[in-house]
Amino acid sequence: MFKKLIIIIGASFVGLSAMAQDKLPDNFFIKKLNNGLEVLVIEDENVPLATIEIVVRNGAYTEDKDYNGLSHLYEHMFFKANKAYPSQKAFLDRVNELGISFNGTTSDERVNYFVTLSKDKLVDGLSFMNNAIRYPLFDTVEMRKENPVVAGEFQRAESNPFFGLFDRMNKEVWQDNYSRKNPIGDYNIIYTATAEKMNVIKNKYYYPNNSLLAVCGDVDHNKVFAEIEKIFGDWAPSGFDPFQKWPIPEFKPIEYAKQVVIESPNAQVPLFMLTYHGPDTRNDINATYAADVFSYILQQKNAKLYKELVETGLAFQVNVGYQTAKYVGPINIIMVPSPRKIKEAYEVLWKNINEWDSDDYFTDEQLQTAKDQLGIQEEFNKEKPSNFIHTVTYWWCSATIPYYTNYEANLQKVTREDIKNYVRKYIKGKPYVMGVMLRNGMRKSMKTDEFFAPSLSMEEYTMSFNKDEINLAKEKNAEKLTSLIQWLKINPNANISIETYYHDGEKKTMGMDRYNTILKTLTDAGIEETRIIGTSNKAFQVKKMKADVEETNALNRKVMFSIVKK
Amino acid sequence: MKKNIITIVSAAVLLFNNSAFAQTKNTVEEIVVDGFKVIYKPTNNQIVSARFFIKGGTANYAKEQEGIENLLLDVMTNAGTAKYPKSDYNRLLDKMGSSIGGSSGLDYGNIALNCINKNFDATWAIFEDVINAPSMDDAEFKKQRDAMISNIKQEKSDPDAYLTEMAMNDAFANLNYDKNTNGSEESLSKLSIDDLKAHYKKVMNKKQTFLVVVGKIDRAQLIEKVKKLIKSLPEGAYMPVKPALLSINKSTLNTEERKMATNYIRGVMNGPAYGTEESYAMQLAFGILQDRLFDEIRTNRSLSYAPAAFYQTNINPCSNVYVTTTDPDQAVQVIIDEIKKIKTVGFSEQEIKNQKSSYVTTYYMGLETNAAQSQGLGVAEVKGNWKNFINFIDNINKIPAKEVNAVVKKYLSGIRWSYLGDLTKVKSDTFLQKL
Repeated sequence: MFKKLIIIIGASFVGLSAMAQDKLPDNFFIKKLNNGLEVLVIEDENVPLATIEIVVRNGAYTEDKDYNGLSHLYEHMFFKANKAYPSQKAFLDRVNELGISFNGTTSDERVNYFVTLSKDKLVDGLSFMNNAIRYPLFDTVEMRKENPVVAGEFQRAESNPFFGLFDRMNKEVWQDNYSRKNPIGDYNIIYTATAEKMNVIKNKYYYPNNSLLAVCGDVDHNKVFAEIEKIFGDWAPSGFDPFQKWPIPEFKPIEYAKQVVIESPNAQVPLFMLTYHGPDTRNDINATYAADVFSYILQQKNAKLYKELVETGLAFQVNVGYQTAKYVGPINIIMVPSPRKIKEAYEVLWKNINEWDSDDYFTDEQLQTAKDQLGIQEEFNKEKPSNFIHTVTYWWCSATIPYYTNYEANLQKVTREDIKNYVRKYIKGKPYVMGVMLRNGMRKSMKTDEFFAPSLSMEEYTMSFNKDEINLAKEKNAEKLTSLIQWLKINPNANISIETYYHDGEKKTMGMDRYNTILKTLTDAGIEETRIIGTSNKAFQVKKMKADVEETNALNRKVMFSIVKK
Repeated sequence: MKKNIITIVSAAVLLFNNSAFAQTKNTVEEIVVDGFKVIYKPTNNQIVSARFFIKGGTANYAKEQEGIENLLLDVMTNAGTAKYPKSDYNRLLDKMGSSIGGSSGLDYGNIALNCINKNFDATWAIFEDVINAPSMDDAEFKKQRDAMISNIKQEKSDPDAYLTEMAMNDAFANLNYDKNTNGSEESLSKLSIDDLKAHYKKVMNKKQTFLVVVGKIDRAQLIEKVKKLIKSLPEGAYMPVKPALLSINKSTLNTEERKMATNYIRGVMNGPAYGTEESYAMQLAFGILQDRLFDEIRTNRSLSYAPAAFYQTNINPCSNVYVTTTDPDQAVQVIIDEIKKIKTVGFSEQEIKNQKSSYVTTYYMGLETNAAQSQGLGVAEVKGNWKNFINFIDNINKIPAKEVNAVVKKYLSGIRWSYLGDLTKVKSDTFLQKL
């Protein structure tokens, strides 16, 4: 046993240098083949099965908009024709013959393929996976047939009204790099995908030096290592690190807070979603532990958040979660308010968020409970080897194996101060995107615009006046003003400039009068005058045919807004 | 052919012999403690799962009170108890990382305890009070009821959940399964705390309930605990629910318009009673039909991401086909053609052999957690006998090919279709074809 342990430590030193300092659980065994393929074996004799998982560092984060959804399509193609099984029928016949339960998933930072089968068929299973990962055919006919299938998966997601909210939120949160957090992808890109594009992905990411092969179950690690060496040992490495060659661009921070409203005839209850950019495992690993502990504090039923929202009947559900990631993990807050108390629930949620960094927001017992719960949760996770393996491979992609093996110990080190720092650095006072899903008609009947109005861009706030008038009479303008007031309230540090215009034939003071009208509306709504600067301009008059003059003038009786950069 | 079957049976035996489960297969034990049934399976791992089952499910209440058992179990497991007021109840469970949750489905309700070994005694003490002395506070009741109504509404947004409700209401009209186990806004709004108390009194007795425990628990200590647990449960009386077999002999179509990106379709057919040889044959048949629909609808014709065929082994069983598609006419035609094909041509020996092999894998995957084992044992008991759960692979392997071919001919004679989506795409003639 001792000898075995030495060998393992030796292997880990070669394979994963960071691992050498970290104690692995007794049933974890790791090795790195000469071609760079990392191998992890987790021995667990709970049931007479083995799960084999191949994980590739691929997924939405590697996709620009022209490839959005193709890691996912590639994942589908894994389960199709390859050199050994030249049609999907042959592939599926083999699946049936081996009694395999199989699946694959594509997420932001991981693509994984896994099969579970009898432990006695492990070698057959390894060989089966080897053929699928190394020798896909990307048969044109199969590709063409698979495109609508992936589109069908997309349509199913789209049929749930909440997808509309999540998708819109994602667009606002990740902006130019939305595709890199959107694993399901772009419908049109999927539909028009070609074998050439699949090969581009294969040639960038599908190499042993960018993959992990994990086996979990009732197996002997020495035998598994030997078989893997035989089967996968000649898989040629790429000779480059894809993430150096094609670096993942950094996500642009959210600059200003934004509110999003989605209405759907199929949404039966209102739902709020609030997202911040959180820490990641490259830049702020300690904050990722604090984030997990804090989320577990907040989900306790005696936590202040739960008591003030759910216990009071203001909301039916409230959940705060942080998703650990290598490239900016999102912090998501989801609340299902009581429709009758939607505004109150919204306000109490914000009251709580603003208290999250106060000294007494949670008790010492709640802090310890959160840490212990996370540890106990791990015990439950380990109970199901065929699932547990996915947890471990997730960390391999989004952090490191040592991140996982030291996870519990690091959670125990999290202090109240760490949590306060996490809240201050990533949440309190930070720009965010908040959305609400409402059933058609709820927005008006519940008057949600009074506290939650869809934010527009500054260009979209441009409004126009009637001739010789200083009042914004039109309903459209009233809606825009309500939204602008909300925007100023949720961005208390932003200042704006207002430019008003008048044209030939109007009084010279008209521009200034119009500015004052807007200013008064804003200050009456509680916006400080110091945040607003204004100018009045005479519009440049274009000489046009007489018929067009009024049309041009109407356009010139406008007011424009812009953010004053500090 | 015969040789193949023998090979598979031997393989299954070998698996049992080699497995940890094999060692404990025979240690699943039925203990009767003061007239109360306990199914006990000791394990060596660090998790304990205990479930208190209430037999009956939808048979326990009238349509007007649909949802009452789920609401009762929600209140029992969320509102605190006599010894543990809500705040202490939540604090202690959170602190131990333990959970006590309740839910009620078509055939049974259950209160489930999950914890790690070292917290078992303390969690059990709370579990005991949940069962014997739940706080039936009116304010808490109203809060749980409002939350349940909100959940029902949320569920309606989900086309899959809504389609299931449509299909069950249609196929089992006027039978117990046309009751929504989560209730409706109408039924829940009319319920009072007194109704819940009456329901508690009705179902909480030794004859209608039993316990399953899977974990590293000492047998003698468990018996002592159980004695205390059932001390105040009345003997009661319980008549097992008689299975109501469907009799669908022609196809029908039930539609509802919903604007979505795709259309959701489910068809319900007859099925044999649970635990019979025919039921194992039907499970094999639908496992293979699932593969064939995958091949024909998804792989060959790209008509859907998610075609499915499954046989539901409830007390009132039914067979199901399901698809989401933007081309309902073609997809439904393929489903019907495939069903006709299995009725006329049948299955090959090889397909049945492979299907049996797949069941071995999925069966063991379902045994990985203690919670899954306590669920499996309890559900089998509700439906007749817990031994059906541990003998599942043996029972499946015993089924000859001719029985698989015979069962589809006997039971698949009409489909009650439910359709949610774009009604302009519905061609009723396609749905209503004879099988």
